[in-house]
Amino acid sequence: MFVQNFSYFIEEGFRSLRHNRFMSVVAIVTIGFALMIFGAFLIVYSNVQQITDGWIQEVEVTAYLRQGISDDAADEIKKRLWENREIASVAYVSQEQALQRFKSEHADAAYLLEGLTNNPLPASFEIGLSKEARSREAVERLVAKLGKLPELEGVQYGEEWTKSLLTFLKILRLLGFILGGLLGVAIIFIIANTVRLTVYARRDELAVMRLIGATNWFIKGPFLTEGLLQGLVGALLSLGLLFGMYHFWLPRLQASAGIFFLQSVPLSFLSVDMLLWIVAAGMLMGFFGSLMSVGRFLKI
Amino acid sequence: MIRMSNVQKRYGREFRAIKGLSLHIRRGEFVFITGPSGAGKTTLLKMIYCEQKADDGEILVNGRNLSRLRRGSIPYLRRNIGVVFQDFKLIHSKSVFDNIVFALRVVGTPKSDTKRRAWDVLRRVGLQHKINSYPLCLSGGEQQRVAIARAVVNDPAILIADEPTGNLDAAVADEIMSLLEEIHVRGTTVVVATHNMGIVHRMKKRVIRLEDGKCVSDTDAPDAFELDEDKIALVKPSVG
Repeated sequence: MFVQNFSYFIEEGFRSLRHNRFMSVVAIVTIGFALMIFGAFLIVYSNVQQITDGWIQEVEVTAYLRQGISDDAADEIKKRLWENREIASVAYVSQEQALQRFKSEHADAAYLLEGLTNNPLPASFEIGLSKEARSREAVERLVAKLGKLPELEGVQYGEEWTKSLLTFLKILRLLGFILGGLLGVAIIFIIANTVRLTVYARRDELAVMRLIGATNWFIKGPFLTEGLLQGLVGALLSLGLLFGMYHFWLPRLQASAGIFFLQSVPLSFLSVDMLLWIVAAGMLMGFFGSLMSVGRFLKI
Repeated sequence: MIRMSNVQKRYGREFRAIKGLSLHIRRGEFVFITGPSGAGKTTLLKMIYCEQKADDGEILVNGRNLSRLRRGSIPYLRRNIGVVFQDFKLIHSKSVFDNIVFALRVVGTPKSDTKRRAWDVLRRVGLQHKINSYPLCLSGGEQQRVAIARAVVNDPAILIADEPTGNLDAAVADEIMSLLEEIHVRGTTVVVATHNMGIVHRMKKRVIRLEDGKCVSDTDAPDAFELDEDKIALVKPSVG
């Protein structure tokens, strides 16, 4: 019986879509555009997150040794550093190596070193972080721990830009929630209105259904299917539009000189998970939209 | 089969459609409900199939107390009650055959049975040659026969008809009543609300007469007409 009812719901859902062709197309296109806007936002968000994830993973902590620490003592400190779970790699850069590096990296500023009798550059450890330490909080904890070591003079990492990057991501996420919420409400109302028109057009039929003993769910079924189908087709349309924009419009945008940021970064499309979420969201909103309309009708 | 005890029904604050009505219709009976417009005939029928709820009193249908019936159980009660209306209430976008199939589908009849049963019932009402027609292409009498076919296709224990001949001429009305009689003979309890005293006269069945929401007479079949001749004469001019 369930299979029979289900096939009836699908059949009737499609019949209703065909019957109210104009309204259905308007609803589907509107849903398509609304979900496309949300999808575009998701693309931006996921790419920014991917980029910042990459940057945070590349964060290196540099711990400078006090003057006069011998290489043996430095070896000892290196061993102690290794004991930290947050540390994945430690490279010792002696004073001499630091000077060589400076010279090779700043060949044009070699005059700065002229006249110096002592090497002013400190020896340091370049510390790579393990996976579990790749968050702002973990980095700060590690830095605080290193700061307590008396042999170390100072610890440096890109704290400023890491912080602002993470704040930016938070704001972006908040914006996403607001945008998603507003678009979601809009979609639910669009579908509710379209289904309400169908319900109104078929009110006599529904009255007959009630009289001959149809359960409320049997009456609601075709309308819920109609809402689901509108949500599904709208979501697929939005994915089509997004895919088209991503493949045809974005390369041209990247090629144009104005957007320097996009030029250097390889952008990616939405993940399969996110695509499925958009489709599921479209269908769910379609379902609730029509439930609102039919529920109200059946209460009368 | 249907028992009402001291039933009251109000519309709004002022209008009392049914005032302390008590009656008992036994299984397998054929009963006419008569009375002038506004007497409460339609309200009485609506309360039987739960389209209206009594404000007071008790209604038992097929052993179920309607005042204690949950909303979700109403569809299952209705599956045991066929209803026929004056305005037929057919679905115009579906063919005659599909109107019947639809009624079978609603109650979950297996697809393999629906065609055979729809065909059988349409043959019973003499419309096997009209299965592909649409309701609006049929005469009033034919539409009413489709409505009756739809009402009985699920073999309900009770058939309720609210002015089933109201829109039909005398000859067609007689045909419809013969059909209802045939359904009754097969064991269905039939309750017909009507103005048409001519039909009531010819059918010689039990007659419950309502006036102003109250039962003013309840006459068993054999005596009905000797007793009510005066009233029949009074009501007849209002029949369209």
